[in-house]
Amino acid sequence: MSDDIKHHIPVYKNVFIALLILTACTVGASYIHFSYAWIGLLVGLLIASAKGYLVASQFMHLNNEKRFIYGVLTLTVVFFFVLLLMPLLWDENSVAHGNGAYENVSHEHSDEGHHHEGGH
Amino acid sequence: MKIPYNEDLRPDTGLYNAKLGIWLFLASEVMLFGALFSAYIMLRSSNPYWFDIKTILNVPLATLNTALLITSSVTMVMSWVSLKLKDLNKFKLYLMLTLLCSFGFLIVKYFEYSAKFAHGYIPAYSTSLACYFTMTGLHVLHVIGGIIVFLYFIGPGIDMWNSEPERFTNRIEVAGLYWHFVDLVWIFLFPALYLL
Repeated sequence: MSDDIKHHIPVYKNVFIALLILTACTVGASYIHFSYAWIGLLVGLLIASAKGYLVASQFMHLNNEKRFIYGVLTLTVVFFFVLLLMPLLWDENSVAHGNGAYENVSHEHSDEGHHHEGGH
Repeated sequence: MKIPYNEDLRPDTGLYNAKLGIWLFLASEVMLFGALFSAYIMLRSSNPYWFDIKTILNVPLATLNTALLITSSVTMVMSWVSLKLKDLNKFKLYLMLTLLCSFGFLIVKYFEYSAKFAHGYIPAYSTSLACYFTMTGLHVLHVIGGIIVFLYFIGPGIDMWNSEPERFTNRIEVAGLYWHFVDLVWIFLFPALYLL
C-alpha cells in the first residue's frame, strides 16, 4: 500500500506544475485580442476545463473511483446541464417575446442617457 | 455500539460512510454553484447594459489567489499521503501549509473587497458586481468552512490518530475531497469573472 502511495507523489508534483502553467496560460490568453470574442471565451473555458480535469482526476482520484460515485456524478452532470439550459428557456419566453425586464431597463437608461448599467 | 463501515468498505458500494456522504454533498454543491453560474450566464448574455467588471478587478491579486488555492490543494493531498505513510509530523506540516495558503487566500480577498468598497463598488452598484460578490462571497464562505475543519484536525481532532488511525486517515481524505472541490470552483470562477 505504501509503495502504491509513493508512486503518486511525483504525479501530484507534476500536476501542481501543470496547474501553475495552465493558470499562466489563462491569464496570458485573456490579454490576446482574438478576432471573434467567442474564440477567447472558448480558449478560457478549455484551459479551465483542463485544469478542472487534472484536479478532479488526480487530486480527487476520479480516474480510479468506484462505480457508485461515477453514477452519482453522471446524474449530477445531467442536472447541471439542465440548469444551464433553463435560462435559455427563460430567455426565449420573456426577452425574445417582449416580456423581459430589460425592456424597462433599456427605457430607463435611454431616458437617463446612460450607456451601461451601474451607479447609484 | 460500533457504527459499521466507518473504516471498512461497504460490499455493495465499495465505499466507507464518510466518502459516500461527501460525494453526495459535493453533488449538491455542484448544483448550488451551477445555479449561480447559470444565473450569471443568463444575466450577462441578456443584458445590453452589462457593466464590464474586468476593468475594475485586480487580475494579479486573483492570479495570486489561484496559485495559493492550487498550492493548498497539493499540500492537502500530501497531508493525506503522509498519513497513509504513517508519518504524523509530515501530516501536520502539510496541513499547516494548507492552512497558511487558505488564510493567504482570505487576506488577499479582504484587500480586494476593501478596495472595491472604498471606491463605492458595492453589490448594489450593478448586476455584474452583484454577481461577483455573490459568487466569490459564497466561495469565501466555503474557504472559511474548510479552515474550520482543518483547525479541528490539527487541534483536538488529531487525537483520533492514536485510537483509530484508519478512520482519521479517511476523515482527512474526505476533508481533502471538499477542499479540492473548493479549488475546482475557483478554477472556473477566476476566468469567468476576472478574465472573460
